Amino acid sequence: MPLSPATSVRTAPLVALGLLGGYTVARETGIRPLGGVVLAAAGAYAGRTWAVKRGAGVTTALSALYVLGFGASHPLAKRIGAWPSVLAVTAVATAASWALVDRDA
Amino acid sequence: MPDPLVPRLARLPRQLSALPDAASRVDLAVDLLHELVPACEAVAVLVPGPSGPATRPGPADHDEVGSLVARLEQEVGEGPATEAAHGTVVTSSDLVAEARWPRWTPRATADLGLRSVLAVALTSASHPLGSLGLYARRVDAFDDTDRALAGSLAGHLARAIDVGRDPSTAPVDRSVVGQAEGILADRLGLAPGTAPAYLTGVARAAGTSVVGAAREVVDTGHVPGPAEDAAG
Repeated sequence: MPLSPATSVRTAPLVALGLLGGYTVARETGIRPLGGVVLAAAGAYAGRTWAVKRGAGVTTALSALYVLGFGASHPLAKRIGAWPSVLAVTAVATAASWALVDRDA
Repeated sequence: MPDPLVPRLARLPRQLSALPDAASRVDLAVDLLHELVPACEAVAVLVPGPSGPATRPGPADHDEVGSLVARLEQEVGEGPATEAAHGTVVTSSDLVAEARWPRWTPRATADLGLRSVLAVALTSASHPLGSLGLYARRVDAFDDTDRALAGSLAGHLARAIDVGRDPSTAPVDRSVVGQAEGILADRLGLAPGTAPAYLTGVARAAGTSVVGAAREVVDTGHVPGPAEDAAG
């Protein structure tokens, strides 16, 4: 299956899919790295578009936000609960991806 | 035109959660690699075991290449995936000009027509588990994005496999769940056989896994009652 051209891919939904899907898999299986498989797949597909449309700097920043969001949701969950923390970091990362990359599509 | 890969990725969490063992998760991850790396024509997964390396073939038109290339590495005792299993990323953009594997390369190029390879380690935090090799018949087939994706997927996959294999992990988790069920049944006077369902309900209400909820009960001694559970 050929991939869609990088410039036509909307990245915000992919970011949401990677973070929410990764969390769901980790929670349902009890195997946190398995959630990382979803995170990596969706992130790589989004990252291809970040790189083509906005270059290395924005890609690095969004990648860091995306990966750190997955990591940060765990300690944040102790303060505000699991799903609220995941939804919070997903909202931040998704909004950043939309604002920096998708908005001008 | 809608992006066909988005619904594919959307189905991934449910598919991964439903798979019962590491082997089927590796299969799914390999399928995913084929879709995310269109240049990849064959994948070999080398995970040493009692019956030799486990392999996974490529797509339908080259469905034996993955198995053949892994078998070739096993036979000659060298090759990119074998080298990658030691923890490095191994690439070759044109195998015809490659000198690192003098026994493997001539047969891989002449018999299988391979020209490009990208191999990454399946390495857990503590030890190497094997490697993942991506192969193509085109020169310079893999780019930086492919390398990053393969490395990232392999890393997560290796840790997931290792969790499933680690003999200290699963028994502890089962033991924790059993202890928690015992505590809940004792403290709340639950009917025989109902503690697992109660623990599942506690986990769901708390937004955590059953193992996580069980660990909370065992570690803290706190027993969520029905009212607290319902309140969330």
